[in-house]
Amino acid sequence: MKSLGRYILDRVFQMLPILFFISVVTFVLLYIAPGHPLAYYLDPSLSPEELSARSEALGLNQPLYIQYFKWVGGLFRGNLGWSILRGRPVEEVIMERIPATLLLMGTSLIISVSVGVLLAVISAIRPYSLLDSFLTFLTFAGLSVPGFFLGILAIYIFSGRLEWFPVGGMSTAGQDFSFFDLLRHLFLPSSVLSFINICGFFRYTRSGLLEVMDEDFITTARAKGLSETAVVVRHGLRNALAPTVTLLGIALPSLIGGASVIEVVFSWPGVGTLMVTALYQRDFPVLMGCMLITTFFTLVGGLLADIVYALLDPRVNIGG
Amino acid sequence: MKGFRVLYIAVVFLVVFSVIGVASENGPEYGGTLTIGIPVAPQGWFNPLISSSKYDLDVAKHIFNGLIEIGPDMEYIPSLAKEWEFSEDGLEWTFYLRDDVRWHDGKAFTTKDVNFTFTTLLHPKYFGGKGADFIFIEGAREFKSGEAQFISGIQVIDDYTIKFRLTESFAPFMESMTFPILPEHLLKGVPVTELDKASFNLHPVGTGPYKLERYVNGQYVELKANEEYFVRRPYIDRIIYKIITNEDAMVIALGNGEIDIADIQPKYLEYLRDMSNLNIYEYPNYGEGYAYMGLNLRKPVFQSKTVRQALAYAIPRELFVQTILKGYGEVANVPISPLNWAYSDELNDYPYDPRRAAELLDEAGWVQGDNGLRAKDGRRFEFDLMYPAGDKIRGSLSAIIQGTLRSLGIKVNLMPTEPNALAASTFPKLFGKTSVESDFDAYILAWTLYGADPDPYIIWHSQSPYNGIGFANLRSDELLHKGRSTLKLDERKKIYWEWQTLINDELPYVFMYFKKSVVGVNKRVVGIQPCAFGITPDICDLWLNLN
Repeated sequence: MKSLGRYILDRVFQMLPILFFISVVTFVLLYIAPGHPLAYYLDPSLSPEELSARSEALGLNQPLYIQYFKWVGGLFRGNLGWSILRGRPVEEVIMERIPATLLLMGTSLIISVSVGVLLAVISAIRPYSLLDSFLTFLTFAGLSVPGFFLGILAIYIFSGRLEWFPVGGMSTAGQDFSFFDLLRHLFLPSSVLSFINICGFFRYTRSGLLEVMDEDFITTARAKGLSETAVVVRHGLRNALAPTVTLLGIALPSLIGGASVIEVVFSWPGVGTLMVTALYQRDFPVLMGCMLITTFFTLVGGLLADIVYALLDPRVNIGG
Repeated sequence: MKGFRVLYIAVVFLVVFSVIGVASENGPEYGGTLTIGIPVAPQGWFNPLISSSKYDLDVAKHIFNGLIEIGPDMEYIPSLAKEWEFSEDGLEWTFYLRDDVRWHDGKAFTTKDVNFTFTTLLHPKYFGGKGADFIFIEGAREFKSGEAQFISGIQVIDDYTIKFRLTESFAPFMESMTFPILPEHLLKGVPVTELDKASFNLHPVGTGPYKLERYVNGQYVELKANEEYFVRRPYIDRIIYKIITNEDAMVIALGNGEIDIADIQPKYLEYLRDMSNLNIYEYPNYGEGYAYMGLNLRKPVFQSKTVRQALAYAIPRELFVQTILKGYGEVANVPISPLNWAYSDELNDYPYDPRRAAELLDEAGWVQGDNGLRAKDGRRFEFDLMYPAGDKIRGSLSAIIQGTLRSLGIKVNLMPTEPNALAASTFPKLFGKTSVESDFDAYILAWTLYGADPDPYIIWHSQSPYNGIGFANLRSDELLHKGRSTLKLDERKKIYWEWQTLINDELPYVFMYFKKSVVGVNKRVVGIQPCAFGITPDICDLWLNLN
């Protein structure tokens, strides 16, 4: 049986071809899509000569594979290229947005995991009770309503009618940083995101728990005379968490990549908003940068989830 | 159409007078922060040499000045230049600059800065696309091609006098003098090819009424009043452009007072009318330009003028303006705005007249068959119509076109196309696809108009790359050339009237509408005076009622 360290190393090496493959596909798709990065601001005062000089300066005239290898070459030197429409290094443009996304996604992830799992445990202790049915219904509704709608509804009620919170952004424009101001701005988007995510965590954990509760070792625990709460929390939960961990693994890249829809609805200055803008503008280098980072974290998320499985459940043998 | 404009002026006057009524009670006060909501984050290129984004240029407008500016009635007024003169033949232009202007960093503004700015625009490696109209300066071509070391036609007489010699008479030259002047001392060290990466772009230094205080990526841009501004100190201390990426949230922010000013879509008017803290202004916005249906004139079906005219009669454009635009627009029949002095009012209006359209189609040989569809020589009248995907207004317009043409026996296939791809495929000459004949049938887009000069050459001349539909008409080319080389206004006007009559008859585009802007403004903002370019001709005129 291989050691955990060796296993991680293997997995990391497996990640490289996947990263390569995804970057090629994304790159090719972006570049063969109809349109042109310089068509975004089509201005009749631009002459075709100037356009082609600009294309040349940006390397857009070269064959696709050369452009790709230049991009990869840049990666090895630690740079992601220059933003076409911002004239700044891509890593700088993205790094500027990461704290905002990390804050929003991190807050809502912590809230949604803890609340989601807690509610699932409460539900699972008395399955099919009135409370369980109510929570199941509520979370089902939550998963069915699109996020942008919940967001706009929240803005309409809490900013438009009650005027408790600002409509968006991360700080009051023109004011120096204050923690309270940040919280006021964070409240609505993180609440909406948490609500959506709680629903997911709740449903996965609850069904995981209910499945486990029929197992023999639970019967044994009950036979020992443990209270139902102790049975669910101490014996059931640990074994039922696998789907929840998968969900967490999937959620990890969003910590960096953001949730585009919610970010745009709340004018949150994160990576998600940046990606949407860059997509409209055809700022390819920025898009490639965002894709690369999200792909990387998706793979890392998957790896971490596998490792945590093993720690939770001794039956899983990661060494294979 | 004329009656309509008179009515509009009356409405504006009414609004202006009521505002002045309030103003005279308190008198203007200094101070406060004006917050303007914008839907897209500026790129962070507050440098007019390279930026083409509306949101960056809106900010830059407050930071920089041109030698001259455009006044509220679209006339040229002094700015950095206090006066100017030109020779009878229009080949020599002399500008006398103010001697009391300082850059935001305290350095004196001189003709060196003017020379630097215009020379950069003509530099062989310059890529920003703002230099086209400067090419008529003597020696500009030689300099641009790298044959000459300097531009012989730009003559710095002294620190405050500069002279330009042109190779041919060129009326829009005056327009190019509105180009913002940049500081030589801060930019001369930046290679022209690296202008897009200059730190100046994020830390601009100008001569204008406001200085850039803070740019928070993705959140807001903050400007601070330049108390030493050479015209006068602006009343409002700070202007903030706040980015709100969601249009519903933008309207809500206007309502709850988070922002003071925002452009709004007519569909939100009902919601906003209940808001007691807002005034709603509407004005025909010159910059909105005109929306049109472009027809690929290389396709046999669209080569017939009769068919193009039939299409204009067949589309209920007035109905569209009244319903979808809720009346905030005006049907267009030429590419020159009714706000411009060159606009002709002797035009065929092409009112909605399906019977006339059917007659014209019959006349052109497209007759309705048993299946209800029109055909000629065995070919069905069917075409693809592209429109910008996600654009609800143009989507509705396209659907109306599809429906009404269907009832006339013409089959239109709607093709929502991503805006960027749409632009690239309708102007193939621009993106190195000269050899391939452009293959689109028809599309819906709009041209914005800017500046006060009406010169439509660049879009309509047969050789221009922006003439994507392939319109070629000798008389039109002649008139376009004459129009830009004639200096006397009344003569120019006659030329453009003749040109408009020609375009109005040929209809290379089926013109759709000129759009009006609707702006919501918090009542605490005083001094709003809508003009062709926005809700105020001069930001220094606005002040805030701070009580």
